[in-house]
Amino acid sequence: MAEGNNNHSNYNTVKNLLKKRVEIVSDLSLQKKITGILLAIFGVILLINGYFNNAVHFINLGIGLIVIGWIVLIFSHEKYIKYDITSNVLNDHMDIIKKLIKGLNIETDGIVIPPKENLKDGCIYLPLHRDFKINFSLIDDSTLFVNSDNRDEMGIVFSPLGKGLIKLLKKYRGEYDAPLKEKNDIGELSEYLDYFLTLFQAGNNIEVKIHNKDIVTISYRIVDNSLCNKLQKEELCKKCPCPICGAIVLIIAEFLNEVLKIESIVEKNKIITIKLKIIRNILK
Amino acid sequence: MNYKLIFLIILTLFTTFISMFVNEVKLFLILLLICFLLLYSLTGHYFNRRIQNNLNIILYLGIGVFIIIVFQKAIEILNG
Repeated sequence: MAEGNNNHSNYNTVKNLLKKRVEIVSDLSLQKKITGILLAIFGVILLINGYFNNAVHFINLGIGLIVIGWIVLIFSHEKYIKYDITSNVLNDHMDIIKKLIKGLNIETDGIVIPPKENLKDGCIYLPLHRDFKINFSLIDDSTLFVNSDNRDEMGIVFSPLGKGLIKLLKKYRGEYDAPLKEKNDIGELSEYLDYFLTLFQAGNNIEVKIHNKDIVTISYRIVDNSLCNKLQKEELCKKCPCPICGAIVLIIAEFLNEVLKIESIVEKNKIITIKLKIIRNILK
Repeated sequence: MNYKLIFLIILTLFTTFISMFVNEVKLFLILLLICFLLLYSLTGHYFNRRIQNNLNIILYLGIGVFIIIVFQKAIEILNG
């Protein structure tokens, strides 16, 4: 009973915080719009004044202000993708995954498999046992449960959350850039991930480091951490990361073309730290 | 990085600077277009698709103005 009340008050707090956030964001957007309109009006006044008084500098300044005001108005648009991380749809999806993981009593961490011939978008693999082996011949796009005579090869395959974002990213990025597999510099990877976070307005300040050639650490600042709190509480981050972290780990797996184990995903004050381990020895 | 802010700061500084030192509107428009093109090509792909589409309108308008200026100049030269 007490737990139920607690959950209800938590739900109300989160709801109020979200309401406040939406108000602040819409206020900011309105302020930007007002600034843009004022700049454009001031520009028109300067332009007319300059035209009648034959003052070229005023005409120039007027045109410049109109252009800047127009650009400020364009920049005042709200998010391109309505990425509502706390949406009921996503919550329901996560609940199904949670039930599946709990039902099968899976205690292992997620394994990120990069795109391969039989796995077009890559996948998150959750082995059933801690001493596991990955048999790639048993895993493809249509597999959910991996069944094998060898119990070490058994597990579940999830289509990674965030693969839709990666597809969208590749579609936009493709116009300007070479494919991810052709990149070989860690700086290029950081730039790619920075672009990803900026494009979807999901975060910023990303840093990627590779230690001893087998540990990869990524840290970035997330814009909306409400889902992080929920997933961290249920310890789902390591098993099936949210769309943003999921897309990041998948991009890194694709860049390195290696199978990665999610060692930890920690959120503290909106800073996400992801630790991944490259696994090479246990592949069959 | 906040590419929108960088874009706006550079454009504002450049616009203020050239509006003070350029004595002809046509030259000012061409310089403004060049600055816009440079900034847009450097930072444009960091903006989301809706912003890119809206900035394209300014770009095409600028190119249209540029073509009119060039035609005017060509007609002036041809008429002696």
